[in-house]
Amino acid sequence: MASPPPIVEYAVFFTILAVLVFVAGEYLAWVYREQANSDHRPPGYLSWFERLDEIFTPIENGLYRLSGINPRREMTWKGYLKAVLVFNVCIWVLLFVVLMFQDALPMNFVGVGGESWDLAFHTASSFTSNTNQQHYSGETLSVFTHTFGIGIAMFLTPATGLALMPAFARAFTNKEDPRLGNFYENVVRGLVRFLLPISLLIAIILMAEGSVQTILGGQLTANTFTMGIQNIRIGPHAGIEAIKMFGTNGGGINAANAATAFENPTPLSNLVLTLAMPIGTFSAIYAWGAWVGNRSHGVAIVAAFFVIYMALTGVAVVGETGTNAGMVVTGNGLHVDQTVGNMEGKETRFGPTASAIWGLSTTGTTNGGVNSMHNSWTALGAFSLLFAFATNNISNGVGTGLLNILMFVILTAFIGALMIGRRPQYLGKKLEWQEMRYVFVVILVLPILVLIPQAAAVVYQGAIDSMNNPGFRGFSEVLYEFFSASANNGSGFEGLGDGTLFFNLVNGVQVLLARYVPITAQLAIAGYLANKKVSPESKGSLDTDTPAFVGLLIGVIIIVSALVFLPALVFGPIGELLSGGI
Amino acid sequence: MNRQDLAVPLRLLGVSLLVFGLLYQGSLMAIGDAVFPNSSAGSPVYVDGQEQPVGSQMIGQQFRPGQPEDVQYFWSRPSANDYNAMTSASTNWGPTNPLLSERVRADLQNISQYETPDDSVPVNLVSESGSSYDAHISPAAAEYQVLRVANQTGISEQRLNEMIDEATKEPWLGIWGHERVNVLELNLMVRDALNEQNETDQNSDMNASEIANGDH
Repeated sequence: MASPPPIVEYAVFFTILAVLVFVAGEYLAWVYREQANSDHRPPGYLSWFERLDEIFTPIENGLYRLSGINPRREMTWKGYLKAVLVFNVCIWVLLFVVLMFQDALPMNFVGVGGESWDLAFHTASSFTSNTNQQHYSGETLSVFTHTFGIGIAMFLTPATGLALMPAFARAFTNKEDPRLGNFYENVVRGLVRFLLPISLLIAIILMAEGSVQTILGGQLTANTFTMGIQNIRIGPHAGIEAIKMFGTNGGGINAANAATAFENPTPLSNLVLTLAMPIGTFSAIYAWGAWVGNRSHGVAIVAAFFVIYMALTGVAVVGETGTNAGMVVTGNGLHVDQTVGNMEGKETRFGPTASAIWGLSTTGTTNGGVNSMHNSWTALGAFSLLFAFATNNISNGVGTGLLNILMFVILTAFIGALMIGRRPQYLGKKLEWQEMRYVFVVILVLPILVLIPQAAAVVYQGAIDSMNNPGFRGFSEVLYEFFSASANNGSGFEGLGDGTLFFNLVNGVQVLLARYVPITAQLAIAGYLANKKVSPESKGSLDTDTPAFVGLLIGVIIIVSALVFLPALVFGPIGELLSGGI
Repeated sequence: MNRQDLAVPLRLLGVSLLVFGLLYQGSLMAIGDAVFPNSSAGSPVYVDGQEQPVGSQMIGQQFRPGQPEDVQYFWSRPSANDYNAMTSASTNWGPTNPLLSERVRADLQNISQYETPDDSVPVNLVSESGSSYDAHISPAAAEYQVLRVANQTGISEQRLNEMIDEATKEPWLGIWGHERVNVLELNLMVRDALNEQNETDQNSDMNASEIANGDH
């Protein structure tokens, strides 16, 4: 049995994904049905969800009691925002302290040192904001830091994102009622019902496939027969990897991330982890339709983002199954046979297609984990990655992703209504200047955070010196780095020497602004809309579940968001492509 | 801000350290030790007569064309850090970087020093992996080396091809991932065959009794 052709892997992946998005979407809708103030009911054949209450409710009640949470204490948007910020500051402080002083903390089995203040600032900010951009090698953190610092943030930051969703749903399900629910209740529900059980399942699959899992050791020593002693780094790989991929986190224990065998041992583990990324984000989009009582609207938005995701994945597969221009060389009469595709920076067990699908899954969400080195991708492949960034990572992150894509949906509803001469409204709530002002703030965050520092970096010698490749590729490296920080993604065109004061401070500020400015604006929007009354749907209202709406939504995303970056893309991957570096 | 606004997040963080740090990682480790002890230990590979593992099934080792002592074995992929598994790294040279072409050309020249079946070298032999310690090469890359290994070791080509088949793993259900050959597993078979050969040679020298436990 030979390796499968690219089209088979492509079809298998998206078929399985579509089914899982539906099931996980119904499940997530059920998890937050009351908190979203929704009258959602799962379909009959999924009614067994209700029996899970018997398992989860006692665990949640225990956590409420231990943490002093009163779920009945409802918050307005300002109270909600305050809770989000205070909770995230606590996570940041924990990370900063653990990173600075990991050399003095226990479980430092391989003797790593503490991080410098600027690196610790960047790392703490990056992991608190669910970005997981790394300016250090993963191996320079201790097992303690991974277990009690990084690993904790990997659970709590996607839970923060999840907790925002039901609050935002209340903007449309509330009738003149400013209460958005209790933030901490929503965090705990997301952790107990969504993140923890699915992570446990993924971690067990990983261990069955060969991932290592220990918190009592840091290295395995082998006595080889041709290279002497080989020391091998081990740690809590399975546990960290599972939540890292499912919570759109992405920061691996190993520098080479999921390209290494202990993080991602086999093709099957690779499939599970590739699916884990978009399931967390697309299921939330599906759940949105269920909460607002219009499942077909949820399906329509999922479809729009699937179209962009599948199209860019197709471009990446074409690029990576093509040849690497740098390897078209001869030496002593020998040349390289590249019929299988571009294998530079890729693992044999995955091959070019599965690596390309992973690449677009990690940039089609804000995950940022990699299973191949993106900087070794072809120009066409690199273009697809950077274009995914330009759409703000297609489906974005767990929880926050739904809110971010709804900014585009609201904008589309606004434009669509004006086009047919109606008063703009979305799901029965009137859209006025107060809300639209904040929608534009969110949409403008990405271009402002990326393009202004990019302009500064190309004339700053320190940044130019950090580039690992000459020409267009060096420009792409810096562009990728700023995109990755400003979209809270965290992956890298690795090779860029980013552990400098300049990149630590610039990226550190980018990740924080990229996370908390949109959240503030979105909670404000939720606050305004929740207070409005629901106007009945009339015959002239814009339908939000038709193919026409899907098409308009795709158009708005491409025109409003992605085209802002076209000039920058021309200097990067497009320039490289046109100059023959396919 | 009242006291509760700070007490609740701090207590929740403390509870999280316990539940998502200690309990989550610890219980997974316990499950691993009980159900998947081999994975949990890092998939060590043991050989007779050596207490320490000879390597990990998951982690590649250095067998390179530039090193004459590796000529009897199947080569693994180029590595940015010489298969040092305490870190992981890649050179990250893009397709337009002249350094990449230089490296590939140097590898082709090293390969050309030995027997080659044809001029078309499988990409796997000259491309770096992402992790820098990929345990595998493609079947095409292994088959390309059969002629050389056969000439250098005296093991028949047919026997080497059987070894490759034995060390080959299939894609998942034939629909996801790529076929691959575990280089360490393959080279251990080659080494066993070499040891056998040596023993036969020694036997013909009538020294069999002295090297019964064959430590070469």
